[in-house]
Amino acid sequence: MCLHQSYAVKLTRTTMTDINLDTALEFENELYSQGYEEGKEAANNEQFLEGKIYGLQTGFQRFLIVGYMDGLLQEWRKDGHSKNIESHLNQLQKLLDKISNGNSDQSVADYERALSAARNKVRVIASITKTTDKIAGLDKMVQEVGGTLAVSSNPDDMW
Amino acid sequence: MLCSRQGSQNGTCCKTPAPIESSDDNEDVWGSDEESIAVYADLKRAHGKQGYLDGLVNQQEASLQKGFDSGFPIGADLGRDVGRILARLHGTPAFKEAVEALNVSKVLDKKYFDDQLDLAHSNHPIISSYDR
Repeated sequence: MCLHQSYAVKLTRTTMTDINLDTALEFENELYSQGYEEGKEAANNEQFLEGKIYGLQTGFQRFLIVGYMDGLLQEWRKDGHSKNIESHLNQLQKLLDKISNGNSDQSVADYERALSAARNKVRVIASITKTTDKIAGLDKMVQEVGGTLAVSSNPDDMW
Repeated sequence: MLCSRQGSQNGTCCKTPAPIESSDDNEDVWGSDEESIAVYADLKRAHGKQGYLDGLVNQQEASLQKGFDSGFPIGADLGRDVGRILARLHGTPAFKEAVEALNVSKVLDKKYFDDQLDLAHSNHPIISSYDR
């Protein structure tokens, strides 16, 4: 790539009366665009893969807890409980169904809302079924398996 | 910077030609020819460099985000599977071993992925070994 020579020529020949602000700005813009394209080419697949690793880890960490609650739900269903528990289990199922794997703003917002409600529902069911041991060390376990990012900094979200 | 139209006379990119005689009425604001080159070089450095940096950073951010969005659902599926397995094994003798075997660093080990970091096999070997 090369600057148009006409610009360079024009600049050197321009006298005070000929100076045109638009021309000068256009010239600067062209230099900028030229540099921009060269910079863009320098950023390559490496950044994509770096981001992908981070995405894989983050997705894993954030959905461990979702899978664990889904697993608990299936265990509780197998145990067979009264109708009262059944309605709690169905509500938990509905909440977990609202959580999608996407990373859009909407998906993330849905995740936060549904996860918080599901946690509360799990606490209630665990308490009724006397299986609180299943969730007692959950945050620690999630951290151990998934790494540190998975633990919420909000103390209200702790078990 | 690359130049495809290199000046043939002295090898300078976009060589500035000798100034044409200006009229007596107008003072040449750019001064001597040497000063003209300096002004041009300064402009090129300032704007070209800034453009390069912005292009590099923006593209890096865009690529990073694209990669993240591409990896997130794959990781989410794996995390969900691991969570289900751990809930099922909780309270059994196999639980402790599973916590270690299903650690993020083991499940996301490079050997289970291809060179674009997609799963090399449709079923993850570790997770499959725990599925009934």
